[in-house]
Amino acid sequence: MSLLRSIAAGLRSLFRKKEVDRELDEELRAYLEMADEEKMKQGMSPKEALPTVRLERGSLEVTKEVVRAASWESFVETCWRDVRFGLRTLRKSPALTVVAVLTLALGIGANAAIFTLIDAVMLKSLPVANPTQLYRLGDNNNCCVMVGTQNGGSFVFVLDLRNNPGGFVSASRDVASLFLGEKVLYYSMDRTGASREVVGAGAPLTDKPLVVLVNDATTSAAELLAGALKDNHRALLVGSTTFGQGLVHSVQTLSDGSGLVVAIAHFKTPSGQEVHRKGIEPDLRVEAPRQLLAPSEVATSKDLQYEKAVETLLQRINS
Amino acid sequence: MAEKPSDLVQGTLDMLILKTLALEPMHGYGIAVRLEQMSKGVFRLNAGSLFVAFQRLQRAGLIKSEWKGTENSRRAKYYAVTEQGRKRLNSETREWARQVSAIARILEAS
Repeated sequence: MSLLRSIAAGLRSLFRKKEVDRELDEELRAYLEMADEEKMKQGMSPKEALPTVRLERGSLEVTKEVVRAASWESFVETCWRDVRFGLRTLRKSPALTVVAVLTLALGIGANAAIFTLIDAVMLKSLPVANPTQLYRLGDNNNCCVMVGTQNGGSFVFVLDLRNNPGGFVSASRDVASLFLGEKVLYYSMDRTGASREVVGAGAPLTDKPLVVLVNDATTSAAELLAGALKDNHRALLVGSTTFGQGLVHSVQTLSDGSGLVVAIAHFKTPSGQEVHRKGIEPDLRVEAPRQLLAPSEVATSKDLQYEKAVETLLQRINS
Repeated sequence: MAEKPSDLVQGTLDMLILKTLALEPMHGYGIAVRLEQMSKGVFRLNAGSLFVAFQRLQRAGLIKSEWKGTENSRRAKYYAVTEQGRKRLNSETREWARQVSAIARILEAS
């Protein structure tokens, strides 16, 4: 309440300065004149009374200034005067003004740009529920998990194993575990015919729909991964039959520095199907065009298998 | 030998003005004279602090003002205490009495 009144009174004296000034002037004048009369009544001459009163009570102008300076609006006034003074000074030296304005503009611009970048790269979290659970697979951008298609706030996954030559079996086990957890991934059969089951580790990272893209160049460890996901009914395989390389190789180093590669086991999928020379059959056959896709064309409308994969996923989500 | 007029204890001017105005509405000079008389010349007020206090009290809604003619047929701004100001005066007077008696107790302790 009193704050509002103070603001109202301040604004009044800001915008109706003359009126308020005159009022204060009149009030103070009356005050001093009454003091003068008092002194004269006590027997002083007007000549004596005036300076005595000014000395005892303060002069008119000084008092006015003191009263004015005590209010908040005087601060506003001072600021406004300073701004006008600053502008006048700047107008007098245009060259300096231009340099100063440019320096500030460039400085602020550069800061804003850098902050925008840092915000996007480092500060803003990814548009997923649990960014800390995101995994990056492999070192290359065209590595296996290619796309999380966002659909009504729900993520689906397309795992592209096309032209994937495989590699370490342990890596395929790690990737399979992300989707399957502790399920049987494949069987390893040694030369005696004894089978050893290989099981995934840890809890699955996601149960969102998954499509795996495969083709006739999906080989070895990549086939194992595709087979594990298919036989556990975790993923839909789209594409063509895989290469069919289902042997485990071990490398023996020889004394002259050369090596001897020995097949030590062959694999079966969880459903007991042989991988070697058979390959993994896709659930949905979509033949790829003859020529290889350029990396920039992968996952675009030129990529028929990818298109089919996304279409199938969306159908599954919507049904 | 007469002692020099002394400055007010900080923060008490408002209370004294409210007290003066609670007796009857008065113009600025009247308030100054009344304060000096009642204090028997101990307090001498300069116009600056007095009018700053008027402005402050008025903006706080504790006093209100009105232009009126004086007995000497001069126009002067008369101040009067508001209801809110009266309440403030009561609470400040109580607080003041409390503090003075506390200080006195401390000073008189032997």
